[in-house]
Amino acid sequence: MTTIAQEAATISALDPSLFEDLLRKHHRQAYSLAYRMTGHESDAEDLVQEAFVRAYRFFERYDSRLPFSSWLYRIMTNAHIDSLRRRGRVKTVSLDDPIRTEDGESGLAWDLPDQAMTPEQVIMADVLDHDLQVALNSLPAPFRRAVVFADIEGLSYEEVAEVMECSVGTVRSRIHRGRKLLRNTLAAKRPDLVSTQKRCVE
Amino acid sequence: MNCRYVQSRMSCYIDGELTGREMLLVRNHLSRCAGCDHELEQIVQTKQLLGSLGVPRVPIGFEDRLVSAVLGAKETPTVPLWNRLVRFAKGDLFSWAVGAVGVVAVIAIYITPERQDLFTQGQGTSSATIGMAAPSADPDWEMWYRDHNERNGEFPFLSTPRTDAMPVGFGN
Repeated sequence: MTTIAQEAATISALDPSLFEDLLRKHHRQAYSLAYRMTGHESDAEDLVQEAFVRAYRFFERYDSRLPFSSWLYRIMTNAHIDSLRRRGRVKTVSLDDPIRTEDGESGLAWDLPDQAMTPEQVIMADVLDHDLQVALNSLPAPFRRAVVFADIEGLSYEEVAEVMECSVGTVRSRIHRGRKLLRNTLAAKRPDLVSTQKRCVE
Repeated sequence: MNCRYVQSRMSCYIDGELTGREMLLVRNHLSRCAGCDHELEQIVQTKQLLGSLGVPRVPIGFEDRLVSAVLGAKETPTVPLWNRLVRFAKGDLFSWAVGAVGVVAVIAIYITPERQDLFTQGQGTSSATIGMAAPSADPDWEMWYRDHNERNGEFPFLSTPRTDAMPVGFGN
């Protein structure tokens, strides 16, 4: 088992083969986090790749007293924010809208292959996991990141604040609001998962 | 302590992030407020559901694709100037220092007066010192050698010899 000190000594050398070892060691955890953040396989792959490229490029900025994973999470958070900003600038087209030509609407619709899961796949799939991920995806990104770090990765509020580069007070608020929104979404779509709500008397 | 305040602290209460006094106050409120207690139950359920999520499977071949994409990227790691200087001081500086001392020592040996005296006393021995023994058995070579030294008044191998005066077969 490699200790933090050993890991730090190893990576301070900035040797590509040693960085490769680090990458192979942490890529699963990074992918898991990225998948929960983005909710999509290919987006998660892109996010992990972007995070590791940045980590490799700016490796001299890494404080070797801290675990590599914390530093990687911080990079990944920033990369996720950047990707959402870029996406905001990219014009998207709804596949439900009719195709527009120079003469106006053509009346034709996009005819794409059905990529929905087959009944067999639906049975095989982990429905709970899917529904939870859908509910997670519905959260605003800062709330989602805070909830993922705290409840899936198991970081403390202080660690989440460190990774997200914000105050512990902000983390408290984001985690709580994120959980409440998630609870409301699940109560609407999967009432069997959360008990029905009672109103406060005070 | 009202319901609104307690509910705003509920996640901190679950995660053990409240101070001891606040913890007691919230616990006290929850024991007598069914609505807040139910809210707590729902937040706990939500947290537990998130904790039960499985680890997503990494796509096949992703690891190798990632390695080649990251390590094959054109942009090489950037090293700040200060770090480069520190690294130089730690490792390379010693090698450069050893090399410099060596060069200075070689130059010093060649410019010391004793060394020059050595060169000017007895030409035959000095040429042998640097690996060019005069073929004393050859009368043509000895003649050229004497003649050349008289003309230049210095050690022959530190000046350019006149090729027209050299015997055939000695560099012309």
